[in-house]
Amino acid sequence: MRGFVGIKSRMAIEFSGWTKNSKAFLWAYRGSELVPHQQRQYAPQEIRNIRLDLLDVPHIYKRPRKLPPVINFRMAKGGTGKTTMAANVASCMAMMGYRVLMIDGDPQASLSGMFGVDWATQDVTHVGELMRRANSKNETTRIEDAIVPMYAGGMLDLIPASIDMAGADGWINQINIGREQTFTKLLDKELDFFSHYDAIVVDSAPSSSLLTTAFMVASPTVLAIVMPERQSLGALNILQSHIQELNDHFGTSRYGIHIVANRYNQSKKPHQVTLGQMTDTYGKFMNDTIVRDFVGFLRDTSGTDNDHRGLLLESEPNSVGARDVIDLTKSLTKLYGIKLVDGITGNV
Amino acid sequence: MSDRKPLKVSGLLQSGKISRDPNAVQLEEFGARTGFRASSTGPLQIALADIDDSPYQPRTLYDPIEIDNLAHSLAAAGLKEPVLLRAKSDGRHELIYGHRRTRAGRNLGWTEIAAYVVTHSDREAELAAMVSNEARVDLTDYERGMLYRRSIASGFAATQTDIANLFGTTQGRVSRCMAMLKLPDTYLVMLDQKPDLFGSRCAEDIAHLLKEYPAETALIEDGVHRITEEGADQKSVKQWVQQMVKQKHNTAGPKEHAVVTDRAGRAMFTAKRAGREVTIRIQATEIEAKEVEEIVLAALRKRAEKVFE
Repeated sequence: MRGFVGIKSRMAIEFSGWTKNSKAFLWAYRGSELVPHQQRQYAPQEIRNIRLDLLDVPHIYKRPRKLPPVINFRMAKGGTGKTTMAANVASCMAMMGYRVLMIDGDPQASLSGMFGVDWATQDVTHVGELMRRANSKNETTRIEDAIVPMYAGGMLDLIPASIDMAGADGWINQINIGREQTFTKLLDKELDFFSHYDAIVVDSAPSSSLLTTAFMVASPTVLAIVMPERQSLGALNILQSHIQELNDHFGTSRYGIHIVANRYNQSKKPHQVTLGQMTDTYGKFMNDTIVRDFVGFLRDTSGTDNDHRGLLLESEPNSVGARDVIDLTKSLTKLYGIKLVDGITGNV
Repeated sequence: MSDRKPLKVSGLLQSGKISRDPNAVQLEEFGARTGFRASSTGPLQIALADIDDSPYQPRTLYDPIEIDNLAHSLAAAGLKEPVLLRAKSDGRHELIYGHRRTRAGRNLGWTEIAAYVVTHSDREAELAAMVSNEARVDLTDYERGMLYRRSIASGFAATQTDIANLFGTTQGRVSRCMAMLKLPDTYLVMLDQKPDLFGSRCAEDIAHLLKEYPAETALIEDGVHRITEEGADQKSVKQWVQQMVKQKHNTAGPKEHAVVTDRAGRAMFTAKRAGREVTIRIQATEIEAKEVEEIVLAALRKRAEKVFE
């Protein structure tokens, strides 16, 4: 569990969708005070309860038994900020009151690293192993082994990765039928477990392996994090052919893409030019929010102290980068249909 | 929460920070089974003989070597990207972009070229030709200046900022390129003949020199001629003119000689003046130098007395 207590009242008011004045909010919801009469903090769990209150839904509400939306962060190029965005968006969703499960799908385990899980010193059950168990005839999945809780109340959980996962392609390759469905099979088999979350966030590797394909199958709309640079446009073409293969294979056209421009620097002319070219061709698939190149994103991966290696919303909630993450997360919850209470729109 | 407004794609497009190519083809379906195609109809093969240049093309100068290089690559790899044409009422076609490729194709002896054909009104064609060619080829600053002026004349833009947004450049650049058009006619004639003679920075220098040394127009013109005649760098114009002007003021014109003769026409004395120095030479051998010195000194003393009067 992380040392993070909660968000401050101003953000809590925004996230909970409170429309009356802020004094009324502070009166109705106390939050927790680290120091008496000082800044109050609202834990993700509490935001969830406030939102449920506002919807007149009891706190013990249980989701119907069906799979939540899966957001697959995927890009055929490294270094575009997939992991950073996946971690920040997932934590932002949790702070907005959604129950979120993060799955580190990259053998480099950078998402796990961001949350302070180190496969070298800890015993890690990675998602590849879970998939193997789910696909074998005589083993139980024991998914609880894999979960590492991040925020209290099951608001943010992580299935970490380890370097062993790179070997997953080996056994997937030996399956004769349904190689692509190994991940969806895990989701189906453990539906009771997965349906407890409001959203699943997958951080995929840049390579095109059987493992990344398996993740793609589970999420019809791939979320591509793209830097407005020439190489990224090339990588988009690779991703496009990959998606085309999937559509051909399944004889559908359900697989598509959603593009988020990341690490944009307004003062760099080539960024402006490339972003213009991107909107020329992919305008229909692009998220309106642009994530700016912000140094705080670097800070959270370069730290050595795990407890203070914060996500932007934890460490610098008033920063430009945090603002971009919040805007992006809001639009993604709409796009992927992530709901606090099924049947009622999430962003009430 | 941060007060700095988030960036939106829509906002950047609206403010003109990023600009869209009006001819670009939007992808309708990502990873569709039909594959990645730029247009639903696909390119056609159009006879090169039926293709005319766009009257709106800002480029006036085609470097034959560059066209030749392009022809080589076309011969080796073929035409990767079709040119864009619009159909005219008389059955011929008018280029919107692809002027250089068309020329290279003609040089190679091709009879037809792959082209997309669109229906554009004059106004649409003008805008498309302006914007796409401005972005695609390395136009000279003078050509850009003319193009920007035309975009105002045609009503596509009202201010320099509008122009900058239209062509995806900066207001400063627009201002510099358009300032070139304000040079005296002699320079504009030179640029008309050779648009790449000098750029906007050099034009700025010239305007500055003309203002500083209004009497030295000929010298400044010489300075510009040096670019073509001596292959001088256009950045050197300013320095060269300044140096020449300085030299001219240091040496006060040509040296002057005076000769004093007797009645027979024999040279008695010569006087030479250079700058502030006067040299008197005694040619007649019968006259003593001492005598002359006394005469001159007496005259000088008399002149000096005058100062106190």
